[in-house]
Amino acid sequence: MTTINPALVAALEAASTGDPRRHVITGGPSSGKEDLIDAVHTAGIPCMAEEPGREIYRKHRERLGRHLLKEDRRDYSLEVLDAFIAEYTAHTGGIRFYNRGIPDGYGWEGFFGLRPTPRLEEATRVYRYDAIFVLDPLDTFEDADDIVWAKDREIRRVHELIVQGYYDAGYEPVFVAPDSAAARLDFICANLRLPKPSRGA
Amino acid sequence: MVAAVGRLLRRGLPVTPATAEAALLDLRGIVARAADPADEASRTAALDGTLRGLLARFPDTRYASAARALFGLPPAEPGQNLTVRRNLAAEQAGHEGHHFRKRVEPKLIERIAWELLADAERFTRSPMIAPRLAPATGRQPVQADPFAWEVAEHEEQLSRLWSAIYAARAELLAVERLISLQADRTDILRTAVTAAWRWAGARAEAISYTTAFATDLESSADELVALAGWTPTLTSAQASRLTEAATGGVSREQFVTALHGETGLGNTWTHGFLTRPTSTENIPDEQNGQLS
Repeated sequence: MTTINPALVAALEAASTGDPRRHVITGGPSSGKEDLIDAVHTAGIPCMAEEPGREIYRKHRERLGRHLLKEDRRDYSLEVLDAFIAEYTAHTGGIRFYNRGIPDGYGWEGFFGLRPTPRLEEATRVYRYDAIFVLDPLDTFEDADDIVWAKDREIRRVHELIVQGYYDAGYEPVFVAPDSAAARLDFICANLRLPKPSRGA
Repeated sequence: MVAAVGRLLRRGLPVTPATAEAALLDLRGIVARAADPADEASRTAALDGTLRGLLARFPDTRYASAARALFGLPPAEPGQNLTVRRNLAAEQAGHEGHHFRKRVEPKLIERIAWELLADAERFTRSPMIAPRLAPATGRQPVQADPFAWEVAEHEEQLSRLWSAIYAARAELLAVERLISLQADRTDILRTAVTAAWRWAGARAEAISYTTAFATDLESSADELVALAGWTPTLTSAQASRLTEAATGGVSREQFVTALHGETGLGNTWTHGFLTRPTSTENIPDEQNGQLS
């Protein structure tokens, strides 16, 4: 177990009795999000354990026995939305980080050419986060010609659609440049005026 | 493009329908981000978001703050006129106002325009072109992420689709080569049946792909499979019958068995090849058009 910065512990404790402060960490695949979420947990900052979309996706795949078609994706995204709303409303006081947020749904729907559902739009209006941190992809390509796999190209597209989803939802995301998970978490905490976790290491 | 970005600068962000020009709203990256690509207001919002994201991550750190101020993002404030924003940007860049306007500002505008074009390039989707491959420099594990799973599955399907299209193309070419060589008739018919099996398999893959991943694709499954090469003209019922027999990755033998007794269909396919290209009516009276 890494040493936790006592100043951070004190700040989190002081905040715990106050209003809920919800901060989203998001980004496309290959953005280093999971490493950062691990670092958040290690630093002792309350955080969503696992993005609910994963388990719901597995469940849908298992039930269907095939890949998701357009109509399946709509069902999937609505179920994920419910899970995100439940996560949001369950938190009632203090600081909490979220592994993706409700507006990520715009990215998902945009990726599959679906129009945002009225439920997503309403949830976006009702359930507001305090800060959005977008992790820019760790992979760096010198130029577009280096992206030879459709997969890489698509992953970039996913990332940009997620970002656009947050702009559409009326947020001004803070972009977190590629770096080590610890450095990125320090940057995020500094942005939130919290003591840097690395100070305790 | 540069001129359009320059004109957008007059009012700065947020982009409004009055300041957004078609050259910017029609960029692929903007259309792809729009919740409703057909709606100009939606594309305007997408352009606004794209520019905000681009300026927030402006690659030239020396001028990042100046570029943001110039377009009306912090440290500038919404509603400030261009002169105020320009002065603030010059200050951020550490330049005298006149020098900034004459020398630096045009370069920043050019850079923004270039970034928008590069972004549009990233959104190019060419489903009619087979994915370009490159040597793997290492293992490429798939991230545990629903987006990544979908992207990986998309690539799997795309690879299957193109392998099926090329397999069909190979057999269709083989038929024409054997005809040209005036090869033994039995060989030609056997190869034509193989071509039918491959072509139908490719059509099944194309339908599967377009249904799952490209419902908004302009090209249909038939346009995709047409890339394999020329085939005899089939009715849609005949094309469907062939496809049905090839669905599920069946072997050639299973395909032939499934179509046993389909003499009419067999004749249409094989006679189509055996008929001289210049004649569309003179179909020879073959004894046995069964697929075998």
